[in-house]
Parts: sequence; C-alpha cells; structure tokens
Amino acid sequence: MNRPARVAVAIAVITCGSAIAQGLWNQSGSDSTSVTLVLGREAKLVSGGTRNSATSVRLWLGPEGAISAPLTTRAWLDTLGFGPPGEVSTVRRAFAVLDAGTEANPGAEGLSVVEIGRDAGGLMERYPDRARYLIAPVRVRQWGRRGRPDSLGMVMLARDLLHVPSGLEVGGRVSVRTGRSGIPYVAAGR
Amino acid sequence: MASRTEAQRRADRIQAFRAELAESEKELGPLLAPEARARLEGHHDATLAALAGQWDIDRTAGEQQLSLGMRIASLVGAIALVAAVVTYFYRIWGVIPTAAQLAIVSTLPIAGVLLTEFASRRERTNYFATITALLAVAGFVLALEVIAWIYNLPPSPLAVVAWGAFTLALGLAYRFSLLTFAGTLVLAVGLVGTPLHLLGHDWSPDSGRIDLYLGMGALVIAAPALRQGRLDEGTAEMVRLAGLLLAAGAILFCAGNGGLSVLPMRPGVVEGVYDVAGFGLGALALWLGLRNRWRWSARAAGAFLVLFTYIKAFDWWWELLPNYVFFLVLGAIAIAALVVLRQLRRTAQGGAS
Repeated sequence: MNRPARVAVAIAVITCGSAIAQGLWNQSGSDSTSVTLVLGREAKLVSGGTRNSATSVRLWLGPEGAISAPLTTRAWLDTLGFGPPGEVSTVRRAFAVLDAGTEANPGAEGLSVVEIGRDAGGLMERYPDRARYLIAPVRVRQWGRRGRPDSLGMVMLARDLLHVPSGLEVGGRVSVRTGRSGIPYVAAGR
Repeated sequence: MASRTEAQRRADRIQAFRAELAESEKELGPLLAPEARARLEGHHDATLAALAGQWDIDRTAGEQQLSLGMRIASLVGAIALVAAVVTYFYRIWGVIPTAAQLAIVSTLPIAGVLLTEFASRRERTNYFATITALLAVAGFVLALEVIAWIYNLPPSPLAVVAWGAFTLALGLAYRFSLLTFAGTLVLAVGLVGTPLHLLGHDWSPDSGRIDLYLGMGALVIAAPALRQGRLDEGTAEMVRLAGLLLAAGAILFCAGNGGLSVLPMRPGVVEGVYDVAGFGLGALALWLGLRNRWRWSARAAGAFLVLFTYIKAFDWWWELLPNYVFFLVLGAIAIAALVVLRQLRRTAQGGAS
C-alpha cells in the first residue's frame, strides 16, 4: 500500500474515532436529570418507514410548533457579535436555552427560546434546572433590511432531529438530557 | 512514463505516425528502406508492448472505445453499489445495537481502501478498483453522517475537510482523476469553512462570505506549481480544474448578488467589481491555460467566459432591449467569441510550429 493510501486509512481511523469520542464525551458525566418532553407538544416522533428503520424525535421551537423561532432581543444579537443589519442576513453559531416548562406556561406548544449565548457552559450555569431547561446548538440568523419588521431574525436548531437509540421504546413522552458539550440526547422513552 | 495519460499519448503518437506513413506511401510509394522499416516497426512494437505491460494503454481505436465503455460501466456500477450499501444500511440500522452500528460504519471506509488496494494489484486497468474506491468514499461519508446522527453532533466543516482529504488521498494513491478532482474541491470548501466555524460564524455558503471561495480557488490553482515535479500533469490538471470551479462559482454568485461578498461596499458596487473580475480573471485563466498547455484548464476557462458573458448579457440587457434585439446581440457575441478564439488558436498553432 503506497503512502497516500495509508494516509486515507489514517484519516478514516482518526476522524471516525474522534467523532465517536466527541459523542461519548458529551454523554458521559452529564447531569442525570432530564427534561421530559410530551410528544405532540414539544416534540414529534419521526420514523423513516421501511426505507429507514431508525427512529428520531424532532424538537419543536416556537408557538406554532415550527423548527425555528423568531428572534426578538437585540441584546442576544449583540452577545453573538452581530453588527447593524446589512443587506443580506448573516448567521452565527450559538447555543440556546430551551424552556420545556409547561407547568409555568401550560397552554404553550413547543419549546421556547429563553436565551442565546456562545458558551454552552455559561448557559448551563445560569439555567441549572436540568429538568426544565435544555441547551442545544443553534444557528442564529439576523434579518437584513428585507427582514420582517416584527422580529430581528430567527433561531434554528443546528440539528432538530434527536436520534432514539435502538431498543428504546418511545411512547407518549421522551426524556432528553443536555450533554457536557451542550448537545442534547435522548436518554429514555416511555 | 510517469502516468497512464503520458503512456497513452506516446502510444497515440506511434499509431498516428504509422497511419500517416502508410497514407504517404500510398501516394508517394515506399519511403523507407526495408532495413530501416523493420528496425522502426520493431522499436515501435516493443515500445507499445512495454507501455501496455506497464499501463494497460489502448493500442487501437477499437480498444479506446471499449475502454470508454468499461469506464462508464464501472462508474455506473459503482454508483449502483454505493446506493445498495447505503440504502441497505439505513434499512437495517434501527434494529441493530448502537455499538454494532458504529463498528459497521467505521469499518466500511477502511475495508473499501483495502479492497481498492487488492483490486489495484490484481488488475492494471483499475476498473474494479474504481468501484471499490468509490465505495470507500461513500462508506466514509456514511460513517461520519451516521456517527453524527447517533450522537446528534451538529454539522461541522471539519467533516467536510475529512471527506475531501480522504477522497483526495485515494485519488492520488490510485491515480483516479475523478476522485482527485472531487477530493480537492470538497477539501477546499471545508478549509474555507473551518476557520469561520472555529470563530463562531456560520460556514454555509449563504452566510455572506463567498469571496473566501475565490481566494481558496486561487490557492488551489497555484498548488500544483508549488509541488512541481511531484504531481503528474493529469493530476495537476484535476487540481487546477477544482480550483477554477471554486473561483468561477464565487465570481458568478458575487457578480449576481453583491450582498454575498465580504467587501465593505454597497452591493451594487460589489457586483460591478465582480463583473470586471469575472472577465479579467477568466481571460487570465484562459491565457495561462493556453500558454502552459493546460488543456482542461483552458477549456474550463473558455467555458466560464462564455457562460459569464451570457449571464451578464441577460442581467444588463434582457429588460432594456426588445427580445429580438437581445437575441441578435447574443448571436453577435457568439460570432465575436468565435473570431477571438480562432485568432487565439492561430497564435497557439504559430507558437507550436
């Protein structure tokens, strides 16, 4: 085997290994408390049918149950380093605190975004109630001049589908935990 | 000979020489003494046999057509096999434990490389190795996608860098032009996105930093010159072609929508700057391609200039001119392009003679 072929094997080993390590690290040692989401209200069960045998849970943001939520606070945009709105929307990576507090807001549907920041650890410290708040990676888009007047932009989950590990039965509810890196994962189903 | 392309060119020259000699002898009678003819034919036969033994070149027009058919068949076969592997995995992965899922997908790319090595050693034509190499690339893409899916990892340009580097390494290892081109392109896209991602910016192409792809395209085009002598001409052309595509795409997008650029100017001004850059850099790339005999690069630059001219003509004149005048102008542009290209061809022929 020549040198470039050996390099290809090394790339495959290192990349797959580091991706698995990143996933395992996120799930290891995190707070065992989890947020219980009601399917049909804060999340939705997604099955691939016969073509894809895996099951996923889709998180819902916003009052309409959409996967994106309107961004209304200028302070959040400033925190993320956005400047004044330009002609074209610009996008930043961030973490969002998602409130699943249906007790506080019983009529609400979907998870509501209560804060956005660049540091997942800082957000976890400010919102320590792991049974109510989820942290998740998001993309924040600032509207340009063509944006809607009622909001400054929108928040989109970086990955709105959470994988349900095989063997886990999901009924009407699902328990989701925030990992050490601020990446949520399905811990149990009911 | 450093590559199959060069070996094929030598074989083509020998065949052309033989055909022309036969034709000339029909018109003028015998031109070579029997001893010289026997010596020359013996030398050519031995050269062709040596080239065929080392590179599996095509020695006749019929062989060339068959080779093309086999290349198409291996590409179609590879695509079908990749689809079979990916769809089968998605069909079964929900019923196997997570550890088994991870083990299967992590093994796929490595098994693909080993199979490619095996196929490459068994047959010089590399038709089967093409199939296994594409399987390895698809296996690697699937592996990172599935691992990210299992652990809900957000999309990252580092995965794109890894896909590109893996594909490029396989392309270089077994001299696969398609993989070299695709690997270079994907790697360059990932390398643009990585610093943005690390700084907390979005790295998707719609995030308003398209100019960075133009800069990366220029670096990629220059890369073979930095590795002079270590890349064969076919590989260098594929690398340059990937860089040209990246730069051309950036110019097309920024010239169409100035808001996609990082330049601190009004979008209308940015579009004007990129209009000038499109024609200027396109002409420069065409000139460099013709001057250095980079065949694919010159063709790509020519195609870009024609496409860019038509897009700009549409932008500038479609609403301004009546339809029949607009199409008349397009026809005139095409004729003007033919005149210029014919002049360039004559210049190139003059230089060659």
